[in-house]
Order: sequence, then C-alpha cells, then structure tokens
Amino acid sequence: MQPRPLPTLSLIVLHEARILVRDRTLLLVCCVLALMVGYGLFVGLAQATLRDRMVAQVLKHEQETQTANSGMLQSVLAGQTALIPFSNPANPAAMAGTLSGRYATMLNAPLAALAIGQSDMMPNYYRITYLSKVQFMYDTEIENPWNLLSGHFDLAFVIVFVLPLLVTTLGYNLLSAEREHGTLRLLCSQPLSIATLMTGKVVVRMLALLAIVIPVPLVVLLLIRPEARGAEQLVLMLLWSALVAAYTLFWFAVAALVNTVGLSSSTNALIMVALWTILVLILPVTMNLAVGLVSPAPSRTELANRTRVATAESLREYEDLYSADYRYASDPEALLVKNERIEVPSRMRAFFLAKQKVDERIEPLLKRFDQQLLQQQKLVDRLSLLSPAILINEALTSIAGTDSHRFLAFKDQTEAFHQEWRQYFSPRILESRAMTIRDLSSLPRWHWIEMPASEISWSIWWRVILMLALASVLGSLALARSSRLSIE
Amino acid sequence: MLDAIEVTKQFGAKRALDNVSLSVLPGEIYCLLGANGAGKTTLVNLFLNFLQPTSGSLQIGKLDVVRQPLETKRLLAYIPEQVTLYGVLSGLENLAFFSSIAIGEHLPRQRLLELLEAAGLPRQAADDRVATYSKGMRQKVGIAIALAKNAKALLLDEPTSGLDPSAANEFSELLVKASNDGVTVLTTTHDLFHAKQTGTRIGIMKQGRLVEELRSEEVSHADLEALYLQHMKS
Ligand SMILES: Nc1ncnc2c1ncn2[C@@H]1O[C@H](COP(=O)(O)OP(=O)(O)OP(=O)(O)O)[C@@H](O)[C@H]1O
Ligand SMILES: [Mg+2]
Repeated sequence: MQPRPLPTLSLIVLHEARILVRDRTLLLVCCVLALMVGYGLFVGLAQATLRDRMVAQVLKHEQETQTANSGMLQSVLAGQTALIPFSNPANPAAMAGTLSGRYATMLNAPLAALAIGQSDMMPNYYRITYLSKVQFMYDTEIENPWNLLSGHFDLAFVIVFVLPLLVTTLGYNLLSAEREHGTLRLLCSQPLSIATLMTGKVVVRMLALLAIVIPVPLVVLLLIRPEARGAEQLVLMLLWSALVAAYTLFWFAVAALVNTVGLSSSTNALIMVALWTILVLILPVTMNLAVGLVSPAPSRTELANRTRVATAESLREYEDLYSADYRYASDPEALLVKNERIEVPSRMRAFFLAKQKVDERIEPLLKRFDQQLLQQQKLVDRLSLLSPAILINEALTSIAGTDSHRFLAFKDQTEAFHQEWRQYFSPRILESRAMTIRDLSSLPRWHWIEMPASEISWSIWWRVILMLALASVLGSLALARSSRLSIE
Repeated sequence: MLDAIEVTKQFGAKRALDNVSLSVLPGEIYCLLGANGAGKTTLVNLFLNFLQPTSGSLQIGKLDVVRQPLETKRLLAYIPEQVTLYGVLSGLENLAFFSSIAIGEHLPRQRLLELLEAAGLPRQAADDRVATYSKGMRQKVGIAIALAKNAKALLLDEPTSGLDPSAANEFSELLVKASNDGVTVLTTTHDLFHAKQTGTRIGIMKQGRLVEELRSEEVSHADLEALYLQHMKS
C-alpha cells in the first residue's frame, strides 16, 4: 500500500471551509458573533470605566477632605475658627465619623471588562466611619453566582448563552445534512472514516468561531487597557482562551454526538435547542432553588431586627452620657484644645461607644450570616460541576475579578480596616486626646490586598481542565459511535 | 476479489438477505438482477460497510469489510444509483475533492478534465455548478470519480439510471475496458439486455436469496428473459 501523502483530515478541512464560504452560512454566523462580541465587550468596558471613575471620585474626595481637614485643624489650633464640635478636626470623635472622609476601595481587576459578574451588585468602595458595620456593609445583597440571567449583555453572556446557539446553528446538521443531501454515501465509499469527517467539520467551524471570539476581546483589551499587559494577565488571558475554546468544543461535541444518533436535521436542531435550554437555562435555575433549600440564605429581616434590638440596648447602656448637657453651647471655651487635650462632648463619646457595642453584640449573628454565605458559596462551587454553563460563568467572572470570591475578600478586608479604624480612635476619644496635625497624616490607611494570583489561577485551571475533560469525553463518545453508524 | 460468504441481513423482522454467498473474480463483470426489494442494494451496501451483516462475512481482496473498512475502500470504487454531489461546487471541483480523498493527492486540472471527458461530460459543463446539472450529468461525474480512483473493484448500483441510451452504451464500453484491465465489477441492474451484453456472469436474486447464477455466454437473450420471468413468477 502506497503511503498517503495528503492527510485526509486536512482535505476535509479545506473542503468544508470552501463549502461553508460558498453557501454563506459561516459568514452570517461569524458576522452575528462579531457584532455580539463587540457589543458585549463595549458593555463590559463601559462598566469597568464607570467603576474606575467611581473609585477615582471617592479617592479625590478623600484627598480633598484630608487637605481641608488639615487646613481647618491648623486654623483651629491657631484659635482662628469658631468651633462646632461635629466638624472640629481636633475632636477625635468627629474625625472617627464622617469628617475624615476615609474610604475602603477596590480597583477593577485588569481584565474586568471581560465579565460584569457581580460588579454591578457589589460596591467597590465603602465609606469608613465608626458606625456599625451593619449599617454600611450589610445593605447589599450577594447574588447567587449563577444568577446568569442578570440582564447584562456582556461578553460573558455572549460566551455562555449565545455561543452555544451559534455552535448549534453550525453543527446541528453536521452529518445529517450530508446524509439527507446524499453526499454521505459517496463520501463514505472513500477511505474516509466518519470520525475523520466529523472532526474535520468541527475543526473548521470551531476555528471560525474562535478566530472571532478569542482574539477580538483580548486585542482590544491590550490596546486600551494598559494594566492588562502584565505577565500575570497574559496567563489569565491564556486561561480565558482555553476556557472559551473548551466550552465551544463541548458544544460541538454535543452536536456531533446528537448527529451520531442518525435522526433528521430538524430533529437534531430540536434536540440541541432542548439541551441548550436544559443546560443553560433550566439547570442553573433548578440548582439555584436547590441551594436555597439545602443552605437557605441568611435572613435579612432577622439581621435588621437584631440590629435594632442591639442598638436600643447599647443606647440604654450609655443613657447617662447621652443625657449630659450641651455644656459647650453656653461655654464655647470648653471646646478649645488645651495641652493637646480636648473635651469630647459626652453625647459623641456615647455614640462612638454605643456603635462599638452594637457591633460586639451583633458579631455572633454576623459570623453566622457570613458563615451561611460562605457555605452557600461552597455549595455553588461544588454544584457548578453539574452545569457547563455555570462552570464557565464562574471561571469567566473569576478571571475578570468580578466574582463573588473577590467581593467577599474585599468585604473581609474592609471589616478588618473598620476594626483598625475604631481601635485607632478609641483611646483618643476615651482619653480626650486632641488630634494633631501629625495625627491627621498618620490615620490608618486603606490598602487593598489583591487575592493571591495562585489561588485564582488554580480555581480557573481546574475548571478549564474539567471543561476540556467533559468535551473530550463527549467527543470521544461521538467518534466511537460514528464508526458504528449505518449509512442509508 | 469480491466475496460474500453466507451473508444474512435482517432489518427487524424483515430478512433482506438470506444466506447469500457470491464470489466475483478479477476481470469479471457480475450483473445482479432481481425485482424491486430483492436485496441487491443491501448487498452492495454490505460490501461498502454502510451496513453490517447480521451473520456471515464479506471480503474484498481477502480483506474483511467490517474489520478493515478503510483498507477495503481503497480497493473499491462505487457509483450509486443517484450520484449526489455538492451543488455549490462545479463538477470539476467535486471530482477534485472526491478524488483527493480517494487517492490522497490532488490531480492536476488537465487530468481531471480528461477524466470528465472519459466519463462523457461535455467539456463546457465542467466548471458549472453541479446544482445546474441534470441527473445524467451528475451520474457522469460519479463515473469520473470512480475512474479517478483507478480501483481494483467497482461496485455499481444501477449506475446507468438516468443516462441516455448512448451514454449508457458508452458506459458499458468503459466497463468492458476496465474488466479487460483486470478490474472486478459487481453491478446491479434491471436491464436484462445490458446484463447479457456486458456481463460475464449473471446472478438472479429473489426475496433476499441468490436463486440463479449463470455465465452470460451460456444463455441467449431470450433464454435469460424467460429464466428471469420464470423465477419471478414462482
Ligand atoms: N434500512 C432498512 N430498514 C428496513 N428494511 C430495509 C432497509 N433497507 C432495505 N430494506 C428492505 O430490504 C429489502 C431489500 O431492499 P433493497 O434496497 O436491497 O432492494 P433492491 O433489490 O435494491 O431493490 P430495487 O430494485 O428497488 O433497488 C426490501 O424489502 C427493503 O424494504
Ligand atoms: Mg436497489
């Protein structure tokens, strides 16, 4: 037998490409995909820009407040300014409150534009005061991570939802068209296995789709977001590409498998749409319900009630401080800084202490609350193995840094900072120490500590691997079945 | 070269082939006759591994069809009753594609045109899209594809269906020439006259069984017709 110089697979690939170009299906599908990818990316970029601006604004405000405060403090210390206790920067209780204009902020991850994820639900800054953390941190809802239909037409949506439909459009009649048209008989009378035929067909279609959906967003990001150019980001981009490719392969494998059953094209299309509905729409919703049942969301009503009770109790505890008279109203001298000391109005001190008490009282409940959220998250992570749509959505948002894990980390760090903030002021308020100029520049500073890259990429890696494994299992099944297909 | 050994093919309750044994030697043109539904196409499909036998086995050049499908198909060229091609491609492009798959190399345009000419396709039609072809023109491209393969065995399922009488005659001449070169031919047909003319051997099938085998030089045309009708009646 003479060696075969031209691999059959490449012949099939070239032939398929020509057929698809001639009958314009591919062109149409690619145009649709390009439009959607472009729009989805635009939406993601707009969101990222918006949030960049929010953080920039907040930081500007912080800066301005700081400058204003030190100017004010200088003038207060020089005795040039009439004094009102609540806006007196020398008063530690006032500085501990809203006067300082301190914020905890979290910047967008460099690839944020790839998926909106939780970023429109979760704050990317908190204003830090001595107020109870219940008041400023627990007023936002953490969405279940697979509330996929959150109404954003971002790139992740295009990939998770639209891409499988386009794969379906290109793949529902992978074999059935040849069979119905009659060309399958002539093809299969050649030394060509159906496995090779199907592989060639999938390769062309997949390359066409991936040639749009992968490079376009990455090139755009690299061009307009300089922070996306680091080595770490490059690895994430590679993972992202692998993920998208694996998900596309998964759906092509489904299409190939459906085609090996030997039904008509229209039946195949119906089956594909049904599978899409189940895997992308129904399964996530069902699993969402299941998680709600197995690990119910913590009750916000209970939290609100308990907070109210704790607040009332704490206020009662410092009742006598509250009822102290407004001495400074009749004796403004009392507000002056003397020997680096200042009289903190007892009402303000009471407020500071009461809020601290509220948090102490509510802490066990919050612990439970966070524990429940964490448990839910764990369950979500585990269940995400069941639906490829959830699996990829989780991984896409985690690459974009818009997943719930990152927001929870932000929340944790903010809590710690809040604690530090109070601890800084507590002795000053209790000992009536006035704020100095130096104090103003040495107030606790916020530093966002990014989640360790290794942790992120590991959680993405195994999802990529899982997706690839899933796709290969289905693909091999399809190829194995194809050898036993009878050709009518 | 083409051997069916005690082949039975069952479609559910329907037995399409019932213990058929048949052997075609190199250089022979074996014509399979039989009423509609007798099982002729089923037998051809089994040789192509389009279907797998319920029992028995099939061999092409001593290779088992089921176990070595790709190897046996290298030895084989096939022309179906209805040649269907890619409508968006021209006859020449279709030939170029199928022949490249068949022999693993791209034939030069000149060679492709020669093949189409040998199959009887008008030169000016070669670059037209196949969607505009008549049935007979497509059949001729099918013949050209088979010729390109230079196969050791030809499997033909009513290959002349749709060909006009002169084209059918030309095709018969091609077959005779091929068999003179040692090619093995198994063809199904309803045309007793052509079977007698071109066939070296004739088999008659009835309800899935091979009921008669004879050498065509042994019978006159009238004898063959009488024999055939007699089998059909009983
Ligand atoms: N896929 C199938 N499923 C069930 N029955 C089938 C199938 N293919 C063929 N048959 C049956 O097998 C028998 C033989 O069919 P076959 O196509 O081989 O006949 P044939 O001799 O080629 O007829 P014709 O002269 O009309 O071409 C018929 O009764 C047919 O109904
Ligand atoms: Mg038939």
